[in-house]
Amino acid sequence: MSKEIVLSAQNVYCSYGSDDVSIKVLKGADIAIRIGEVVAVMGPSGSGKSTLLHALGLLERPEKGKVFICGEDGWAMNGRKRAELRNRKIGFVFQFHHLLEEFTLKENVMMPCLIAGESSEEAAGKAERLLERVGIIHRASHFPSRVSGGERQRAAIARAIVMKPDIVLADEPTGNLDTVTSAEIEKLIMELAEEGRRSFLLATHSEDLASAVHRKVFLSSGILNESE
Amino acid sequence: MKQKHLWALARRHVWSDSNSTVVRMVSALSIAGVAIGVAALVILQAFMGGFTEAIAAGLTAINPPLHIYVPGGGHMDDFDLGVVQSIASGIPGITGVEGMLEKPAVVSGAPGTVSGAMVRGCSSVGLTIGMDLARELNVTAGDEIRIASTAGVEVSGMGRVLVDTIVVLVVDSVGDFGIEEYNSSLVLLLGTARDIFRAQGELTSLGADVSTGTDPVMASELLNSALYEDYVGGGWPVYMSCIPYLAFHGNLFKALGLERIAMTIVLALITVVALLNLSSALTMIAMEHRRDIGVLRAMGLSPSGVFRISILRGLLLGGTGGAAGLLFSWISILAVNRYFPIKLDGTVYWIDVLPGVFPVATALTVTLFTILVCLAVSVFPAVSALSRSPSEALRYE
Repeated sequence: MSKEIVLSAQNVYCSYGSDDVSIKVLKGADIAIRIGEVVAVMGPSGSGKSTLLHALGLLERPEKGKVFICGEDGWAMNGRKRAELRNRKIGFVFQFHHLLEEFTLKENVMMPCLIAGESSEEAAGKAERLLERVGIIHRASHFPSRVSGGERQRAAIARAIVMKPDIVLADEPTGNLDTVTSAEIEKLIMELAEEGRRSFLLATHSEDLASAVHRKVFLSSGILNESE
Repeated sequence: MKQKHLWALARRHVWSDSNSTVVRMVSALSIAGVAIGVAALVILQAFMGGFTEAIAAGLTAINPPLHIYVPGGGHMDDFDLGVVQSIASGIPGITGVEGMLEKPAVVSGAPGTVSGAMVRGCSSVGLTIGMDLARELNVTAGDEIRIASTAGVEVSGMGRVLVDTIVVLVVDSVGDFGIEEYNSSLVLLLGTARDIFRAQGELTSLGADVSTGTDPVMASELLNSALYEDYVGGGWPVYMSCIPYLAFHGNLFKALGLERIAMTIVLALITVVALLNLSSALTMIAMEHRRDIGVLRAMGLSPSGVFRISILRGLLLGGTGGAAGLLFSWISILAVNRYFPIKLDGTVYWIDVLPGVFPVATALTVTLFTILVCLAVSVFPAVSALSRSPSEALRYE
């Protein structure tokens, strides 16, 4: 496997439901993402984009297939090692930001560092620098419920990259935002990808976002294709 | 993740403003339930234990902890005292043996007052009169009382009662012996008692003292065994036995103990119900924060971290309830003892006021039990959180 590849998936199968009523969502999906590459996964609602991201992000075990993160087989290791891999190598951005409501934006951004065992001071320093970078340092001590949707998503992006992960998986990062804010977030994602030679895999409906990425893949009938 | 950060997560999950009103209400009620359960158990033990201790202290206030007697009520005298003193000197923990003479007498104090009372002669210093008797005779320290012995009573051929042994004594002090029965008696020197009852050399019983920390039951068994060896082994026609003084009231203490156990079981069941309520509060909190746990797992929180957060939530709720219960019980006991004493009828219960003694060992046991049960009921939400994939938790709304 090439050292340039940060994430690869081979023949991934996922399905929902019980044995009686099973809906097959992924039917042998394959993908490889290189360092610094920004890839958009496109497809209609219900096509399995979120499921794909969850399987690739080691959040949902596929029925079949392998997922490699920086060359390590993510589903072949134990739960603790897999959690460590998620913490250090993978960042997540969710459509509905999923910030922890009981914590301020700064504390939310600090959280992955604290999970990694870093001290509060070290984590706070990193969080402040990133909040400054994404333009919401003035909201650092605010709780998620007290800031706008765009500011929440900026905080979520800061949280996703605070551990300097090799790959960021973003599930509809602009799906819940207005047009102007979406454009700002899209610009921010592309800048962050450029700055850190960081790879992004974005599940999106947005043609604007898709047009800005390096490569697009289409999820259709449970299989990823390079063209629609 | 460091322990202090896990604590912070658990604390904010439990006390979060974002929790629904129902969850906050159930949490508050379950904490209150645990607090009330713990407080009820501790307060019960405080007053039941206080009552038992007060009775035991009262009974041993003027009675030595070990009682030596002749089975069947046989005669005892100074010779027996000497023998027992000699035997007891070899028993560790026994500090001394004294002879006692206890007989009823008629006592009068201020003009127009008269009462029947038990007169106890022992190695006491001076004459101490029980507070109830002093009140009845209207006397205090320094006043004179007259004691008429039944030993000097003669009935003449004309049917007149002649009392020729009336001793006038000065009260040295008025004592509170703790128990109503004893507060209606008086204690004086053995020699004086023998004069009053014309019983030179006579003793009604022997009493032995033990050193602090010595178990009276253990000491009595040792002395009893030595007495048996000496008397029966030595071929004497009579022998003596020793029992702890409180054993005379063994049935009373057994009844009190049984009542205490029964009430403890009832209150412990109430506490268990409160802890089950706490279990549902924990489950609801876990449901409210299911997605948060999914997010934390996506950020790399390990399965053990998820487990520990759940356990810490239980510890927080149970610990808060337990601590609140302890504090409430401590304040209640203090307040009752100081400001709202529970009055009892001394002629029925022996003591006038029910004392509350904060039971440290019981309180710690109850709190520890509560915390252990809280940990146990936290396991289900913890296992439930781990049984779901992070993906499933993230999709939870």
